[in-house]
Amino acid sequence: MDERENAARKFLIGAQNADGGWSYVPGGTSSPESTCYALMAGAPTEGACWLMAHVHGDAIALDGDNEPHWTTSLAVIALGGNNGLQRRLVKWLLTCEGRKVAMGAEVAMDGNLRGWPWATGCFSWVEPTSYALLALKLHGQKNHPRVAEGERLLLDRVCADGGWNYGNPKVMGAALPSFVPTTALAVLALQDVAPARDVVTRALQFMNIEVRKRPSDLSLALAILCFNAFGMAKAELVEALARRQRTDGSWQGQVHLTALAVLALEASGEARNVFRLPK
Amino acid sequence: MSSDCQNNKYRFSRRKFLRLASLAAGGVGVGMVAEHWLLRNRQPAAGVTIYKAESYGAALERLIREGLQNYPRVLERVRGGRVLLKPNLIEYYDAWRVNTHPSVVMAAMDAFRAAGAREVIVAEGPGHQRDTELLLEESGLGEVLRSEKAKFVDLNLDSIHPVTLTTNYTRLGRMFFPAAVLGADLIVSLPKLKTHHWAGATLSLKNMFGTVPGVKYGWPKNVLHWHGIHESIVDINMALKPGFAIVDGIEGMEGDGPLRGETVQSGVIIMGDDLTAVDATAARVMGLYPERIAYLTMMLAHGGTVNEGRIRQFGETVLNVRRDFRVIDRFSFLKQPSPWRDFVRGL
Repeated sequence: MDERENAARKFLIGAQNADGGWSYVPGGTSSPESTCYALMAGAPTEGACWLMAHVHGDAIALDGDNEPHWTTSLAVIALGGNNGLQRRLVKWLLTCEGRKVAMGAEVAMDGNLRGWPWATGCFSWVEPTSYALLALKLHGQKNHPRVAEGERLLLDRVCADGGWNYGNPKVMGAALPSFVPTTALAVLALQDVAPARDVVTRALQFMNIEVRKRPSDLSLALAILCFNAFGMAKAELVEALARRQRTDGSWQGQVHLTALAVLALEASGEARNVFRLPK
Repeated sequence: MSSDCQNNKYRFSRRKFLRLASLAAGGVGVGMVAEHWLLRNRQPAAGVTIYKAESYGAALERLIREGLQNYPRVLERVRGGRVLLKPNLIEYYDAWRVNTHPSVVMAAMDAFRAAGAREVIVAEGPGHQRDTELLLEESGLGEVLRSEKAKFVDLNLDSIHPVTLTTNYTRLGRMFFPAAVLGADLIVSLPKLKTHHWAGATLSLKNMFGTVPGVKYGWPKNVLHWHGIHESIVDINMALKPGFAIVDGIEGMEGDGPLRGETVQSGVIIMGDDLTAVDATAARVMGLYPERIAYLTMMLAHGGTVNEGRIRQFGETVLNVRRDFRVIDRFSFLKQPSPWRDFVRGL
């Protein structure tokens, strides 16, 4: 696997923009998500300077924008350490919250629970909430009340098939199906929540079936990271992900996917799992 | 004495109030009629093409090529230009029912290439799913893109740039859009003919929601709902000005669309260069009154055409292909004409 990881890292190094950041597809404008994932995958650390230059107020912002961006939680994970900047980002995460909404009967969820939104002033959704929970838990905020509320929100949004979609289990009375990537992120965010064990077990079963039925680079990489966090080796998934690598070392020519794949391959080699929470 | 005075005063005030109220109501009524009348007569002439196409195996490319001949100004923009096709690619489950069929995308691609486009790209930014690879494979569009050697741009992940909103109904002031969309010479909306449980109907204007980048606004693009679906539809379309639309109405969706409704074998392709007129015609084909769809009436103030009398029909007539699409209860009013309609018509 080292060869594959090295080829992928070469791709990442070659894809780095002159400003130090990474875009989703080489040649584009640097974006915080790709830069965070490239950093997590061990790409050159100039990316950290790009991220730091994109802190507006106490949150990450996109180029040409000054609104707080949902990738602030990813930056907390990617930058690591416990310095003044980290503390500012964590503090902002604790103040950021999704909008509360009075729900009609056709939508089966508790609109009063506060998680994290994609954009300021909006409702809370599964992916930004999962990333925020992981960032806060990895930075000593496991016992903060916002973390407990975020966990409750995820548990409130479980779909009938056992996993999670973007955060809407039912609409107009009809159950909506789950997706593997969002299920993996939610499960990773709940990996240390003992009362959620049954829900998590069911979600892992859903993922195990679904990722084989409809594999994709994104679902395979996140599922591997997720199974690994629970000590469940899935060699055939790792093989499937490895087979999908392109000759240029990338997955689909995308930075964010390639970095995720590197993290998954790394985790499968028992080196480290960036999303594994301390016991 | 004092009490009498107060009563007189009270009576006078009430009379005055009623007089003022009736004047105001009359003023509002005259204003509304005048607005309807002005909008009706101000609507520019438009042309919409309807062709019957009973199945996805039909000669779709030929139909689209023929249809394009009705729009010489569009053909001028196509020649040597970069055409961006924006299908509706929304979910992996029930993919054949909810997404624009790959055969329609392929036919459009071939027709625009044949019309002299320098490049035809397919681009979409799915609203729920970050896993675009999964959507492409499950919908069958991935296979078509490979066989046609066509470029696909995931608009959720493209480089983005801010655009000032000229209409600004959402009060967002500006919105970010993907570079691929901003750099296209012609944007072609390729929606599916469907009802929609929040907007009433989702057609070529609503389909442009998929150009809004997830990297900025998330999955789902919840900002658009908070700032008003109809308002967002108008702002996006006025910012990007898509120049052509081809509605996949071969199999439509009724009831709880855009995902959970039932398939209707509607057997049509509807196209044109005025997206408001295309959507108004598509709504009529669905048995809906387009004047009752908020975003369509909002587009009247921005050069769109809804009035049947102002839309020249090429190919089939609406009557020949009309189906009665079922709507959910909250949109039952779309099946009723506007109370002003007959009155204004008579003016």
